[in-house]
Amino acid sequence: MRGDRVTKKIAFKVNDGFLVIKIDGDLDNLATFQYKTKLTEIIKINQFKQVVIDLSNVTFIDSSGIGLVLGRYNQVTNYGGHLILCGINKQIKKTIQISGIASIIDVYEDSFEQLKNSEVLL
Amino acid sequence: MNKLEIKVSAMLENEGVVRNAIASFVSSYNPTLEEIIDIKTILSEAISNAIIHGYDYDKTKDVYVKASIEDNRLELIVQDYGKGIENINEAMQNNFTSKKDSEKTGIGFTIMKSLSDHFEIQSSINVGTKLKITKILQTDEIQANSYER
Repeated sequence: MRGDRVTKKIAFKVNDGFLVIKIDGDLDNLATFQYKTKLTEIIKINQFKQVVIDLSNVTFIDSSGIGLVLGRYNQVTNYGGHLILCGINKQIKKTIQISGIASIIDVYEDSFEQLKNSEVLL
Repeated sequence: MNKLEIKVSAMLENEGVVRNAIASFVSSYNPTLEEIIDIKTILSEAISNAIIHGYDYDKTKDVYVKASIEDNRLELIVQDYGKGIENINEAMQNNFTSKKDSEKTGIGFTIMKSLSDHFEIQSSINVGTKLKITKILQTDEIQANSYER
């Protein structure tokens, strides 16, 4: 039952060759602790060349959430893949900016759906 | 002055409880959404610092959080009685973390400092760490003045 509750806040979808990871709610230490193993395993097993982390439904992020993203970025780039971070809404924008993560990872304010429609990801 | 004091077990589950309680306490002073997010982020970083670095996830230990508001000045104190910080200057540097084997970014102090108006660390080895944070809120009075312009 606990596993069911956790998986409701994180969704994985393969869309046009992209693995899209969509996270809902607060991305704090507790959530990061709960999501990390599953995220790591899915990426490790499938080795997707294109990975998207969409935070448009995230309501809160702290340095642990930034660490989760950076960890997956390192994991994906280590096997030659590409990871982008998108859906930077106003509730998480300031922390994302302070973290300096945009100097390492491609970061977009738009959600994956918006990026796909605007053909940015083609 | 209005104040709120909370003592919680050093468990990650309590991070959200405390940040939402303090946000609720502050909300009666009509802060902006940005201020509430800043306060929640500061608290999350401070409490996780106590749980992870102060106590090494020891759930039998307690984290103490005090919030007080006077006029438009919010004071936050987050305190643990854990192992303390060996080198505060080093800990304040970006991308430094004592948890080398984890995915900790080492930017917790940078975030707290950036989001607060005053940020202070008091720490002694094997005594504990006290973080004192000041956040100046945009009060009703300031907002009312801006409407009159």
